[in-house]
Amino acid sequence: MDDSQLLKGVLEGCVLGVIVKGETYGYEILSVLENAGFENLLEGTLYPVLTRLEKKGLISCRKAKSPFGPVRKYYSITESGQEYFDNFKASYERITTASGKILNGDITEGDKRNDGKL
Amino acid sequence: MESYRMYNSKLAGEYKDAFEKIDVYIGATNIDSASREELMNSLTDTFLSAQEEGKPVEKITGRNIEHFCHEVCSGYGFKEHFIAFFEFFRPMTYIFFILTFVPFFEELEKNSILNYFSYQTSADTILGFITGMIWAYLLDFAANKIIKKVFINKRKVTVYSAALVHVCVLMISLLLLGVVIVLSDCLTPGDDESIWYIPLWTAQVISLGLVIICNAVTHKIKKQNIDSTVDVIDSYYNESFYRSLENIESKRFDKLNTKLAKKGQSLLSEQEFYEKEIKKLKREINPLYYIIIVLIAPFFCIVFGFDGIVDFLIFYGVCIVIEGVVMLAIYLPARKAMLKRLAWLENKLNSSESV
Repeated sequence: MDDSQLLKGVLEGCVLGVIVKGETYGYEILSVLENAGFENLLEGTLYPVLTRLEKKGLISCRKAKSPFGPVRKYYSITESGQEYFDNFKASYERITTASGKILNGDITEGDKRNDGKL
Repeated sequence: MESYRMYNSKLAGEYKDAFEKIDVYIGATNIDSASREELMNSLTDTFLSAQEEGKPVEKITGRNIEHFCHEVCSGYGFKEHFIAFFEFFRPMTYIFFILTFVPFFEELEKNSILNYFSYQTSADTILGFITGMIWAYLLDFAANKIIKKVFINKRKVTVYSAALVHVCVLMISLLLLGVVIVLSDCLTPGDDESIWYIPLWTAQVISLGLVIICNAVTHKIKKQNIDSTVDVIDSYYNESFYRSLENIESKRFDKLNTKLAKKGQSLLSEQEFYEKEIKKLKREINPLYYIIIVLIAPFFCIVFGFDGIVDFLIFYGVCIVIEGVVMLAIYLPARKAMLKRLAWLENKLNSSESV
């Protein structure tokens, strides 16, 4: 199954989740996500996400020389980014709980009668 | 910003091949040069980091380089394309501005009394300029399309092959333009008179407006590009020249004293040598030194006669512009290096005085 649509939905939040832990840079974010299980994630997918987050003002960047020489962008979370991340986490938990119930077949009679609201 | 081109030579094997393709593809993409430089710096850093860890390049780019480049550029939007558009036209607006002065000088040459505000000029210059701009933009667009679609799938792609595409497209377009001109001459023989005239000052205001708009939009990029060039050359000085400054200065000192000894003159002490070099360097750092060269040099190039003052002014103007650009490109990085050398020499002088 092509999981790119699912990935698109959560990637911004996950990238913010890495940056929220402390100042970091592109390759490190890629490695953290890869080690966490996003095995097929490429730099090509990550870079536009970082650009979008920066444009939205959710992350800020500082430029410094990397140990290899070229200029490296170090990202850190902004105040609005922190707020966005908290909201994202709350929404994500609500959606995963709800979808978990459906996918695992845990719907009770009470859920069915609750005006369709899960 | 420091140019990534200083570091991508550290890439090897599959990383080098993939990076060259990406460089060519991104270079043919319609995003402004500052964003492009920033993107390529990030990619160079990622590639170098992954290469160091011994990861296969496909872990970073996937199997399809074209798709990877397309994905990477998808984060850029209207703003980057808009700036790139103005960046493309900026050099042409200068040419347009200079061209608007030609009829003015032609009238002066005829010794006719010129009322600047009522003088009408042919609108051909403006129409020609707009047509030329659209033509150049379409050419660039076509060349970039060819590079992105055809060349990226070749096994090996270099920036030279991309440049060759641009040259070929330009040649074909000039050929087509020649055919169009010959055909139009054949269809409308002897119809060379312009039918549209506008006040000269209007044409100059329009051209100056275009110069100002293009410069305002691309101001930040222009500065970054200069900084980037300065960084590249400065780094060269740092890594190869400045590091061995002690050695170079000592050789220079020996050479100078050998010369003086041959002439039978008294030798310089270290302190005198530093003082002499500092004095010479302070003169060379002065920008006036370069401005005078730029203004005077074209006079030495005059080896043939001119039909009139217009021809002379155009020749002289073009010479100054070309020379000015070259000198600026030399002066900016050289000044940085000279200041470092000056600081080093002054430091040496102070320490030799205290001894």
